[in-house]
Amino acid sequence: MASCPSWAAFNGSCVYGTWQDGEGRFHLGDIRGLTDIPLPGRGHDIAVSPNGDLAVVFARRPGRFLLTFNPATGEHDDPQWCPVDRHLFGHGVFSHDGAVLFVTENDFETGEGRIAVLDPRDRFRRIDDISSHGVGPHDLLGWPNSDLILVANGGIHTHPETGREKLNLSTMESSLVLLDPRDGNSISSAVLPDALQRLSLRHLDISSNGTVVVGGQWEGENGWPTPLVGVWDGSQPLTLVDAFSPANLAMAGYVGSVALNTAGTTIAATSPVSGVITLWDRESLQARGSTFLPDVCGLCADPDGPDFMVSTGLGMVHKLDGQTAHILESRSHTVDQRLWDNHLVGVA
Amino acid sequence: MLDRRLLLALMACATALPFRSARALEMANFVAVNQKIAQQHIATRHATFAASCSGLSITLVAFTAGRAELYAARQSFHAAMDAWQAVQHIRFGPSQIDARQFRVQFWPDSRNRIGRQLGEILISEREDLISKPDALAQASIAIQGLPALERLLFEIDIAPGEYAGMLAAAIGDNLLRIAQDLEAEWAPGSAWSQGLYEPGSSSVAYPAPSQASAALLLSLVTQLNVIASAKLREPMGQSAERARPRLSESWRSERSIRNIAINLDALSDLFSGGDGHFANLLIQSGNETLAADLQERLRGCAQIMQGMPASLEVLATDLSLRIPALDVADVIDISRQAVEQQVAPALGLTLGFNSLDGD
Repeated sequence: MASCPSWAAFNGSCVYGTWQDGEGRFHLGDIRGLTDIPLPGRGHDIAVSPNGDLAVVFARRPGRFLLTFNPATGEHDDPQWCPVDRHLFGHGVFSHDGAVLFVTENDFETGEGRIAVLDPRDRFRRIDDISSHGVGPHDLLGWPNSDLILVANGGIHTHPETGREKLNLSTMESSLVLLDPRDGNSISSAVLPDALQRLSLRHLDISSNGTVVVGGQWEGENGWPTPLVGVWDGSQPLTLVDAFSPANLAMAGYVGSVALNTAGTTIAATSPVSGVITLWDRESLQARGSTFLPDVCGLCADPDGPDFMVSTGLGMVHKLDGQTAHILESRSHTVDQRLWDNHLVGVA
Repeated sequence: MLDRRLLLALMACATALPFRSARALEMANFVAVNQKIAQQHIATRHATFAASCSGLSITLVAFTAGRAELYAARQSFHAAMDAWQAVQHIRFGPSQIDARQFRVQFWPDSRNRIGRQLGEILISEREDLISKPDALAQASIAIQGLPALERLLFEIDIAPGEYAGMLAAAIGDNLLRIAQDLEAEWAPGSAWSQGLYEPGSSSVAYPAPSQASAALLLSLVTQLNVIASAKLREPMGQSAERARPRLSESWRSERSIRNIAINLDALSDLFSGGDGHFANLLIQSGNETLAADLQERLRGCAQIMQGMPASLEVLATDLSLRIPALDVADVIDISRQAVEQQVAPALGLTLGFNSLDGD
């Protein structure tokens, strides 16, 4: 970081994230600093339509706004607000054909996780909502070349009256569910062994051939080593990394974001708690490398190459080598104080 | 001896303290404090840890050869554990690499992994662990460090010439290697040390010196939380009848409270030791009262715990000690909140935007 290299490699790619500025205001924009869109509250994840001309940023859990923008131009609409009896959980995904948008929500009367189906051509009018087949749905994404969607049920029950307080840790049950949104049926699911009952599966990425990578957060005994990264093929049981491997231990029980590189061969996981990014071989689940990056969280594959893009709450954006996690390029937003938030999204 | 008047004073000042928003601190203010903490607090204490592990290793080798008593081995364990407790709050950078924190001290071990794995090894008498210098470093983290050694020295009746004694010596050697690596990587002039106080330095990713200050302050916050919850409240339990002293950190060597006293002394030094550290920054920002009050609380808590019996078992059930010990936990919690809600904003620092508030 001694010298700030040229931004050539950043110039082709389009990577978006949200941040908080020095005055506590929230923004959406790209990592090159070309777009800066004010948000009415703290943002979380971003969904991009299949043809790439429409993107939606979601309010952070439990929030109620979403805002649409064109990732190619940075043009944006006014924020829209969901009904007062609903709260967004921060993640969403477009259907394979782009006709509908799925967002994770909560029915806080029953505690059941819901996936709302919204119409992007009609101001995101609610068309339907279906069960997430679990509690506390968080991240979700589309299964490649199909209409199916995959949801990570974090397993943790929250209620708007108590905000983000966790109400059911002793009985929580996290799962991955592959479901058919046309009839709401579960096609298959993956659950955790009893010893990992307090692991909350929260964030997802998927390769073009259908390998799911999941990142978890441990809600059990403080300091107990727990596998935080796993892969799933949609039918067999989850395969998890070695809990006692140094790279897993370094993440201190908490993964904030996961990503596969564009080739689908390497998994990256960030832990803001310990300020570390770890890389894993997708086949062997052996650690490949790790780098200490204070307050790192935002993460996505470099849309233009084999590497990863990461952001930190210290105002840094880095491009990391997809094999070693070494820093290739960095950009500092310390002067204009961009505290980059939990997620980054690449637009190819 | 428990100083009740001091405890009452700490409880009395334990209310939300007002603060003034930063009288603009200069980058140089943060650089100066970071440098002093890096060189005087972090480096010095890691050098002490390495020296005590050297003593431990030598003593354990001598014990195995029948040239030192078990008492001497136990004393050298205590010295190493004392030194470790004085650096335990530094959890980032070199301390995080290669699972060093876990390898030095796998704790808490709520599922008795150490007991099971140590038991298996003592039965199988795995030769490579005591004959190959690096074998233990590659083995399970549960059997590499101080808690496994504690079981060997305080729970199992080990004797010179036996496998268990040689395993103890191998653990001592392993601890010494880790401690020497930590000492070298945190030494003044090292990349990690300079990374805390040289803006834009190459190895550590703190683009601004104030952010390294925030990371150091976060170490204080995290450790205060660990002390109050995992080290005190959980083993103390809901009541004297429901106390679970075997959840405490070092119950076998009867020193769980001694650990806490050392932790608090270290945090007090991090906050206001040397020529002022964070307390100085607060004074420079116009918050003299906040600096003095927090300094008094941290020092006071350390002093009270120093006056308590070393073992938590006694505290948990003797009400004349139990209640003051839990009062200290309250003061620690309030001190932590004061750092988060008053000290950090007074200095214009953000403590973990993602790390304290993820989703």
